[in-house]
Amino acid sequence: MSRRDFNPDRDVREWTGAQRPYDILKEGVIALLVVALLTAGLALVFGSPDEKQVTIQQWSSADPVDFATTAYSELAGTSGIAGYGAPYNHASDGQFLGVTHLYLAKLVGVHIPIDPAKTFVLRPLATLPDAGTVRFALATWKNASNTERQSWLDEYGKASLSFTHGQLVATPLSLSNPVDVLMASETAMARSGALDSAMVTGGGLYTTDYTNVLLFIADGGWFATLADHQHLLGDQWGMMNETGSYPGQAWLWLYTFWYQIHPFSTSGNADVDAWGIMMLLTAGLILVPYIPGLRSIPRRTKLYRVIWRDHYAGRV
Amino acid sequence: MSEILGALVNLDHPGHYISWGWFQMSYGNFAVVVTMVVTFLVALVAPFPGRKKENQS
Amino acid sequence: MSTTIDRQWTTRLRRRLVEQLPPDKALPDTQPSYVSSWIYVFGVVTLSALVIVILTGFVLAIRGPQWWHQSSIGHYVNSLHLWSVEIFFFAMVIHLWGKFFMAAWRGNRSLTWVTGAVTFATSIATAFTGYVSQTNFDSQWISTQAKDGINATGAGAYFNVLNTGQMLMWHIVLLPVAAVVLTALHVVMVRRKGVVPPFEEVSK
Repeated sequence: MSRRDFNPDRDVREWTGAQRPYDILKEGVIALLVVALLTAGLALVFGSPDEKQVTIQQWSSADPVDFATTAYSELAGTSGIAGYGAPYNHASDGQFLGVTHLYLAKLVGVHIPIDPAKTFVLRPLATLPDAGTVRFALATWKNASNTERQSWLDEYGKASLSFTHGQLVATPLSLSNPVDVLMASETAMARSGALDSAMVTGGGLYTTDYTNVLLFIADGGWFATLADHQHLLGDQWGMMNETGSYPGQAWLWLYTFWYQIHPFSTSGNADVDAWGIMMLLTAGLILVPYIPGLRSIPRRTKLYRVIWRDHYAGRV
Repeated sequence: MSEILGALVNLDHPGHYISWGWFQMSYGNFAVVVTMVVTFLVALVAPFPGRKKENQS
Repeated sequence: MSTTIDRQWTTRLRRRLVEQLPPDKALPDTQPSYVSSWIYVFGVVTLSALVIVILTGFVLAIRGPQWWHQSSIGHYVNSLHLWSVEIFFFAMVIHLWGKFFMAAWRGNRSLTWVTGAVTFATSIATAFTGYVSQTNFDSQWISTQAKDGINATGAGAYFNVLNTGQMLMWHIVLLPVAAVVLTALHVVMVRRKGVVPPFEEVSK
C-alpha cells in the first residue's frame, strides 16, 4: 500500500480527544419544532403569491390586435415557434454550444412536433360548428397553391389591423382573401373562450399537457408586457424574481447573471452557453474535494479559526 | 378564518428593486440575502454553550 | 469455519450494515468537544425544513393541485410549503458555506461533500418543477421561459416543462425520492465518519 504525503487540504488526523454528552434526538426534535413554528409564522405574516392564470380569451379581449398579429404569424410561419427548430420542428438549427459547434437540440431531434399553422389556426377553426364562412375560407386555403397562400399572407401582412365594434378589421384587403375570415374568426373564437379548450385538448376532454396553448400565448407580445410589469423579464434578472413583492429564487443569481453580460446578452446561443457554464460550475462545486487550489481556500482564508476558536483556546 | 389565514403583510403589490448599473435585485430577495449573510456571521461569532468555566483546566 | 447461517444473504447483509453503521454511531450519545459553534446547527435545520416541506406537500396532495386556488386553508398550506422551502434553501446554503470553510471533506469525507452538493442541485430541480406546477401566471411564465434553456441542451425533447402533468409528477414523485435518498446517504456518511476535526494549528 503506497503512503501518500499528508495533505492538510485533503487529510486529517482523526480525533481521539475529549467527547462531551450529545442528545441527537433532542437536537432533531427541537430543530423540527423551531422550523415548524418559523414556517407557520412566516406563512401567516407573508402568505404566498397566486397571480391568476391568463387565458387566450383574456389575451384576445385585452389586446385583440396583438392576438390577431400573433395568429397571423403562426399561419404565415414567421412566429417564434415557427422558426424555433428542435424539439418542435426543423425550421432552424437552433443554438450551438460554445466553441464546439454542437447543435445539441438538433442532435436529439424533433420529439414534440408542432406545425404552427395547423396547431394554432387551422385545426381549432375546423372545430367550429355551423360556421359556413369559416368552412369556406378553410377549404379555399386548403385547396390553394403555396404561391396563392403566400400572396394572401403578404397582402394581409401589409394591411393595418384594428378592432372596432367587436370585429377585427384589416384594411386595405381584397374581398377574396381568406386570411381575413380566418383571422377574424380566430379572434372571435378566442374572445368566446372556445379557442382555449380547442387548442389545449385538440377536441378531447382530459389533458394535463398545456404545451400548445402556452407556446401560443408566449408567442404574443401581451404576455411579455404582463411579465415586464412583474419584473420577470430576462434583462430584469427576472429568473430570480417572484410576482408581487415576494422574495423569489435568489439561489438562481449566478444562472441569470450570465444573461446580463456580454457576450451572452446579445448572443443567439445564450441559453445553451449559460447552461454549459452552469453545468461546469456545478461540477466544480460537487468536485471541490478533488480540486487543488479550490480545496485549499478554507485553510488559507483561516475563517475556521473563528469556528473552532474554543477548541484552539482550550476552552472545551 | 380566511382573514386570519390570509397574509398579515400584503406582498401582492408591485415590487421595489435595487438598481446599480446592470445589476438589479428585488427588495424581497435583497432582504433574504442580507439575512443569510448576517445569520452566517452571527452563527460564527455567537458564544456556544458548553465551554469550560475560567477556573477549570 | 463458516456455517450455513453465516453464508446466508440476510446474515451477511446484517453484519455488513452493523459494521458500516454500528448503533452507537447511528445514534451517538457524545460528540467531539470541538463541536462548539452555532454553525453546526444548520445541517439539522436543513433536514427539519425538508421534513416540513414534505409534510406540507402531503397535505397539498390530499386535496389535489387546485385546492390552494380555491380555499383559504389550502392557500395557507401552500404558504407553509413555500416558506419551508425558503427556510430549506436558506439553511442549506449557510450549511454549505460553513462546511466549505471547515474543509469538511478532509479525512475521506469527500463523498459526504459530493452527496451534499448533488442534493443541492437536485433540490433546485425539485423547486423548479414545483414552480411550474402552480397552475397560475407564475408557472405559465416560468415554463415558457425555462423551455428555451432546457430545449437548448436537447433535454427539452423529453423533459417538457409545458407539460404540467409531467412536471407535477417529477415534482411529487421522482425528484423528492431522489432528494430523500441522497439526503439519507449524506446523513449516514456523517454518522459513519463523524464530524471533521479542526485543522491542526501549531501551538504557540
